[in-house]
Amino acid sequence: MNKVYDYLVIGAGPAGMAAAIEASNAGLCVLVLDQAASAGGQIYRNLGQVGSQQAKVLGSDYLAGKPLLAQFMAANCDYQPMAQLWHIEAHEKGFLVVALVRGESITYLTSHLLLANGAMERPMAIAGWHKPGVMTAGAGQILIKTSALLPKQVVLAGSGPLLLLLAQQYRAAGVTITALLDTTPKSNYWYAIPWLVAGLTTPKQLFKGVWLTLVQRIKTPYITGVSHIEVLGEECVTGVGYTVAGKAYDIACNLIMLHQGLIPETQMGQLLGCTQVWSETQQCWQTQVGVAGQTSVPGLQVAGDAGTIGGAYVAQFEGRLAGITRASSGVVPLSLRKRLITLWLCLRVKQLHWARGLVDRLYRPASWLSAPTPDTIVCRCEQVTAGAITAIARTGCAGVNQLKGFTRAGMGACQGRQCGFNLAYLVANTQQRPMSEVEPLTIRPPLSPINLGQLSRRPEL
Amino acid sequence: MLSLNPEHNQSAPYDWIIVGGGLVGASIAYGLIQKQPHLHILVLDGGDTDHRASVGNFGLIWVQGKGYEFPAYANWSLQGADLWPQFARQLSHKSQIDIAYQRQGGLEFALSQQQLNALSEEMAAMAHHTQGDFQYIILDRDAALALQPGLGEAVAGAVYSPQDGQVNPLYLLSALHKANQLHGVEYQSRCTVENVEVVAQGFKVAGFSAKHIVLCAGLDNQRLGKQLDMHLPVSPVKGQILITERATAGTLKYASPQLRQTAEGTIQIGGSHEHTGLDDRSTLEIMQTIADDAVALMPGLAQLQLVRTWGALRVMSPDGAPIYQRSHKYSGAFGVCCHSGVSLAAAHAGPLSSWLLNTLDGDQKILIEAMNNDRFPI
Amino acid sequence: MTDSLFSCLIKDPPQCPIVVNGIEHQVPAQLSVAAALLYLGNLAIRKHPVSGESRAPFCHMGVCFECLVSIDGQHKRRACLHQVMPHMCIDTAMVGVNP
Repeated sequence: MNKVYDYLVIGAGPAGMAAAIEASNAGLCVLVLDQAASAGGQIYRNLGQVGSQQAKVLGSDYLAGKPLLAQFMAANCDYQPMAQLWHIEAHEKGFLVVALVRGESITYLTSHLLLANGAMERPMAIAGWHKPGVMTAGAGQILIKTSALLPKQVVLAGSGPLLLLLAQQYRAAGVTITALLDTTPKSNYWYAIPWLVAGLTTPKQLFKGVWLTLVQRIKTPYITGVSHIEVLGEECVTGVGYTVAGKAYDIACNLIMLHQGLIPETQMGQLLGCTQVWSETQQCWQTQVGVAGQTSVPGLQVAGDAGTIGGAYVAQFEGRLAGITRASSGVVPLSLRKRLITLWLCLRVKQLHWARGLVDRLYRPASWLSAPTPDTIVCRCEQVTAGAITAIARTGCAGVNQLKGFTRAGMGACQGRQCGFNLAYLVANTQQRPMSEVEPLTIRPPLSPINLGQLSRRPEL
Repeated sequence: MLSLNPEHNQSAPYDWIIVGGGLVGASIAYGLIQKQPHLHILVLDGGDTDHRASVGNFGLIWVQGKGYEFPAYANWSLQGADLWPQFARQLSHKSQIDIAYQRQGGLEFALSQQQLNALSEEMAAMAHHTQGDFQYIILDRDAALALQPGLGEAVAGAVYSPQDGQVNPLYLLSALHKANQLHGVEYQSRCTVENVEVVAQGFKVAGFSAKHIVLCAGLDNQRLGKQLDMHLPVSPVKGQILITERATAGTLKYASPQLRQTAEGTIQIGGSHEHTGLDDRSTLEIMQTIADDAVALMPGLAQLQLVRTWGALRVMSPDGAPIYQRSHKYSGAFGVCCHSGVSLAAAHAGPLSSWLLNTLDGDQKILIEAMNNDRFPI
Repeated sequence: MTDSLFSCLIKDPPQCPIVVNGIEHQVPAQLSVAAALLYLGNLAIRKHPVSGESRAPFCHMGVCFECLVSIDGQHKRRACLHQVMPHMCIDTAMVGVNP
């Protein structure tokens, strides 16, 4: 435990890998911790191991990560896979990072820390979403990537590029898509029009997106303007009900995959006390990040989707920028070449995020999603309904943290990951407050489970 | 958001403003409104992530050891615990919230004979101060094992008192808020009070005015107290606790400050006493120490998953006993400080609120006034 | 167990023997434990501690904590974060922890 790393990177996705490559090339002592068995993060999950059949289904954007992965595996840095990070705290030498590796709690010290732990799906709390047979679209993709598993038949519901990509991949693999229920409100298209200009600065991505959308609309049973989705069934899913233009419909099915975009996983930044801000555009809390990934905490950076949702392409640039910035914070000044590269990276990152504005506005979640019906379970872990939460919110409680104390919502195994947003929406809506004024749930360790025996230092355990 | 009472004319001063909506403030508001239902009371509460000792309370209604060096406190503590059963019944009924109150007795474990001897002396002092009303039994290792199976080899013995109990502190606060609201107490959250002004009819705070004011703002009481000519010396003492997943019901038979099984089945493990100022963060070293002690106490706990940790700042007076203070300069201003908001909730809703209303006399009054700030040099 | 809603994309993948609730099965070796349970037709894998209702894996990336199973005697493992290994013993009954 005496070794102090120069740079500890959490997450071996595109941002983390790029940062580790830059920093280790500059001669720093780097460690990358990641929870999966192999590098790639979620977007390039299992990239090093997939066979040709999976590769064909997953497509060229997935395979485009191979050079970066190869560079990372060849880089001169320490890499610990299967590390479940459960605690981070400030330390006199910088930061103390604790992870469970093969059942043992290991403590690492580092002078500088990069959070590149990526994003998760925005929880889409609809009535019945907790029933067996419902999963996220991201889960569908992970099942292809890691397990080469496909559903036989599925209903896809929600909004966003990932949903369309999954539909494409499933069609390529011969999966029956019973229906694609698109919840994108029609008004979003109007709001997005001015942003076409921004989108045009990344023409390849824009045309790919348009093509993907058109293909799904033609080849898949595609239903637009969907609202008020409800999962039907008692013990497990037997169907899905939805509304279009005021009329109710339902479809029989056993499997539904939901998607409403991605949100950054901010727990680590919150635990370390980084300033969080509410983004109206992306409808999520974000760790406040400067242009090179610096946060309000000295020595702590964030890069990739863990900061702002942008996808793999910009994540890689952000990772490079973070790595170069870290390497240059020593005594030796940056060479002119490096300074120009840094400048170019900054501009590119800014431009890509600006271009992303089109996608953000087009796929902004519909407002009905932030007002779940009273019987909808909002906190899955503790089985707390929207009705119970609204009742407490009406008493004028100060916010979601007080609400948590009074309802147990947010106290379960997932520690608010699946309910935090909806708790805040319910408080904001009930108390007529803007989301920017509702503070998120306080984050405490453990960030992932550890048992008392593993935590204890007693030698006999 | 202001929960308003439509019967109250907003421009008229309130009868009482209570600064602080934690367990102390909410219990006092509850007591006042139960005794005099016509009162117009406003509770001002802080922000969602402000330091709130109430959110970090372990949930014990604890008598043993409290006030072993301070007779008034020992008696007050015991009286408070004895008032709890009726208070719990009444509150649960009014609020329709199950606060999971239990009084099956409490155990404090000793990890050495020396520790057991020290506890024994404290208990003897408690019994003396309360003229024998406080009951306890010193248990050797075998006797402790008979009461609580699964104890580790390091346990030398324990103190048992039938008068100790436990409750869900968060549901208690929720129930108090709900009952208060149902009885017309007004509540304003996200209203952190910076200044209290003395005016003609009484006091003005955050744009509201009242004839009487009670400071129940925890650590902020010291600062606000000065504005009302009251010396309320409190300082933060951090306590970290660990909370596990649900264990089989009945794993822990009795309440204990070291281990407590909640009504949901989770096990709470306490706790530290740290002087780190206003920093309430969880730290690795303390978490490890608490885990070490927990598995020494009960080795079987090792396989339980840790679900979350918590840290909160106790509102601690120099001798650990409450401070009940009336301002000598400004009639109608009071300050209430304590770190046992749960244990004393019934006492605060009962005799203390009568003291505030000036309807208390005799021994009770003397007992409460023995816990004022005269005992602290300025 | 019901008919599986899932099938394997790879033709003739290498197999891995596992034990699920005391019964032996052969599953494709690349599956995560969560995927293996789905592949075998187990849609629901645990009972919720508060409601008693059936629950199933939701996110497959470790953030929902719905896929908790016992793996080789270690309880409450997230099935989505573990790959099947030869002779792995998986138990989906929600056994209360008895310290």
